Amino acid sequence: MKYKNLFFILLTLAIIVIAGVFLIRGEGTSSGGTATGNAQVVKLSVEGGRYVLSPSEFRKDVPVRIEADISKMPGCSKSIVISAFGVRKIVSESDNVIEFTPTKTGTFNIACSMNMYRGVFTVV
Amino acid sequence: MSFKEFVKSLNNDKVEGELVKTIFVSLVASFFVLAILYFLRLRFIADFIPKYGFFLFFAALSYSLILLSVRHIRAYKEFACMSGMMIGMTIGMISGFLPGFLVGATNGMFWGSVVGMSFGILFGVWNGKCCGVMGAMEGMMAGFMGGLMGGMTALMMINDNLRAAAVIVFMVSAVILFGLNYMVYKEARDNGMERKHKDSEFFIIFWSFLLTVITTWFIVFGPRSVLFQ
Repeated sequence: MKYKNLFFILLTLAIIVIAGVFLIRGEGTSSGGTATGNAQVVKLSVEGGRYVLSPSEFRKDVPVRIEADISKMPGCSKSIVISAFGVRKIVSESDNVIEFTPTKTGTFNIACSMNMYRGVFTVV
Repeated sequence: MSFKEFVKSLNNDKVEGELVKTIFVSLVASFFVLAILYFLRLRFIADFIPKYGFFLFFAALSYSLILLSVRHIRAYKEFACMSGMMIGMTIGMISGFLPGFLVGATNGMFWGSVVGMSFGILFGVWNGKCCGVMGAMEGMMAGFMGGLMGGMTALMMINDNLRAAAVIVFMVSAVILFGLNYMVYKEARDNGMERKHKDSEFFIIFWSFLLTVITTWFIVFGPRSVLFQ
């Protein structure tokens, strides 16, 4: 009986490892990159619990430079995530710039790391 | 030392001797269903493995641990009122939190909570009622709370190491369920309880199949909150 259960334990571990190797792969990272050249300059602030981007429409494949207005960004709104383009940054007084290149068109979310502050922008 | 005896009992011919085999059967059933679904339909979905594979893997692992405890409890059928409350609460909370978290991570807080609450209340009441209305009530409340908390936790961690959090949540839940199995063993041994019910392997296969299919459908094809569309 002892060996029978040992057999099941080993088989169970083998199944977990095989299934894990197959199923657990990193989520695809976006191709968002660092802005260079003539970037689209965007102002970012928080109003009424929402991110406000001005302007909120970007052009595809043109680098974007978001300048955060720290004085209007309370609490966790400083921890900014744009998951569609792999952007994740905590802005501060000394570093309030986020740069990336939108490589696909559509409407995308910008959120704080806890999803409490949210906003949208469009890439055309 | 009763804990050492419990570990030893995992090799005996009684109720506890079936527990290791239960995990094995449940995992085989879940991954078999996932493999069939993958080759028939899921492999044609863009980025299926990177997007959903991780969560389906942990869903299968979670269900194997939940069904293990369910089978253990059903074998003895009747417990003292106090133990029943603990059983209902633990099963309800964990079987609500884990599916709620995993579905919440892909479909948003509302649908994660709906799935988590449904599973949590179902398993909580089902297992808690072994010991009267208090156990059933406790199971219902814990399932309700666990489901909501699972969906909410996933949403709040979405931009902050969600996958690492899923691993930690799963490991803590596994330890809690292992603790529940030990409690059931100790209660049964201290009160001289004997097996009153024996579930076949088909019971585990059926539930693993059902839970995996429902979870897969929700995660891959199910309705989503606006943020996840």
